[in-house]
Amino acid sequence: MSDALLRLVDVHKQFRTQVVLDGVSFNVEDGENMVVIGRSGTGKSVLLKHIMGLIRPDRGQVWFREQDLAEMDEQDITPLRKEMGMLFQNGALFDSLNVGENVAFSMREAGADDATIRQEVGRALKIVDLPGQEEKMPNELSGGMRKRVALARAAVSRPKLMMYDEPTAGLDPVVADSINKLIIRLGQELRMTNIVVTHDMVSAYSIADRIAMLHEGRVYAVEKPEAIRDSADPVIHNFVNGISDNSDAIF
Amino acid sequence: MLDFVRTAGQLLLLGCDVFKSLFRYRLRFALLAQQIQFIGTQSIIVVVITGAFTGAVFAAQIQFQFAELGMNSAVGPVVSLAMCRELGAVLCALMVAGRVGSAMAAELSTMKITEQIDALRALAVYPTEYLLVPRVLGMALSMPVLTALCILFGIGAGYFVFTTVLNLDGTYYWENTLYFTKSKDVLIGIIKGFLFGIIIALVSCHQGMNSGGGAAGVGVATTKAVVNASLLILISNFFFTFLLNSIFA
Repeated sequence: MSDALLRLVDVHKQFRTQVVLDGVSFNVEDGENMVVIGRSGTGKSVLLKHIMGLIRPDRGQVWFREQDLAEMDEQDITPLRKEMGMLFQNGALFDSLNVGENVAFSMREAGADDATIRQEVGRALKIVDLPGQEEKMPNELSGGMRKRVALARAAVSRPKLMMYDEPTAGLDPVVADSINKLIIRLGQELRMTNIVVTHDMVSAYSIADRIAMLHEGRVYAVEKPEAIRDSADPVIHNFVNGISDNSDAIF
Repeated sequence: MLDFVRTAGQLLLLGCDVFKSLFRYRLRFALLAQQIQFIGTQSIIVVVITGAFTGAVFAAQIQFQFAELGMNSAVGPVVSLAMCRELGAVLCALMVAGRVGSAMAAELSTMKITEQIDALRALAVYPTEYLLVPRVLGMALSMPVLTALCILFGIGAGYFVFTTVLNLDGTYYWENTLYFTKSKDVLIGIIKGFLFGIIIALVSCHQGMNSGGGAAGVGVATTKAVVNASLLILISNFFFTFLLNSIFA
């Protein structure tokens, strides 16, 4: 048996008539930075939600620490999620709580005392370059700030497995680069295993130990970043270089 | 028909899940207090106005009819029994369904479409225990008190109309009201309020947690929460009436 922290085995998922995942299988090793790429609608976010146990596969297994999440009920998965963190595409900050309360959420749940919470929240916000913003409400933040707060919220409990859903989408290149650096730094400092879903190839190359490409509901390739970048395979080559088929441009 | 059976089944399962979570997890008193403030305290004015004007109109109409039969002394007990056994609980529940049920469904469905409920699950918190238990419990605790207020102000307003607007002697109103209104009549109203509270909370939470996507989904969930809860209140009231009458025979 490998020392994979996470193993997906033949995962299938269909929403009504649309097949989203059609037999996805791959492993993520402990401490690895895995980037998942693929065209819009290929099921990358759905894949992350399967790993988090937020969606159940129609068929297949999702093994995390040798426990199959697909076979567990919601109440049994809940404690396992303490070892995972997820940055949602739009942040998904709790809009009834301020920034400080959002970041402190998991620590408060774990029963940490107020002094520790204050200290850790301050530290986490400093790491994401938002010091002193504890009192702001989510609707007062820009898109980039929301993502950074969400990142602080997900990472503050130091999860073993961290998942990022399009962490740089909609951000300017400078903020995107700061997020990429933050993901790498958090991974190194807190020894997290990272799974990053992105379209942004600059991010993918800078973060990844390995890149998995999803295509037509399956894992099309799992390679080192250099191999993906230099691939002559038309599907991979067209995606990483942003080349569309002529048929894509016809209404 | 299939939809109705599916929704009924989902509501039942949701009720069981809330009940189990109530004992399985520690109660979040801060969230419960927040809900009691929102459901209970902030509904007082609406419920008091509803009860008062219903009691006032009811007293006037009864007096108009009973005067011809020389039964003015029966106006008080009739208003009181109607408010205690039926009108207080039903009208209070309908108003709370409109005010609170819609807000509950809108809040939960917005949380769902903005992935806040998924974020809650991702942060290892079971949504039923964090979101639904305080709402259902807050409603179950607030509704009996609101119903009692509705009944009280209905009877009081009836007395005011009887004595001040219709210029009749209030002695018979009070004496007969106190004589004919038994504690079981009040209890029936309060129990109905409690049951209606659970119905409103479960229907609203179910709609919010199972809403469709986008702004339209929020709108549909809100409307369905109010309409379904109101219908369920009126239909279940029929059965509760017979059930409670047989219990308090």
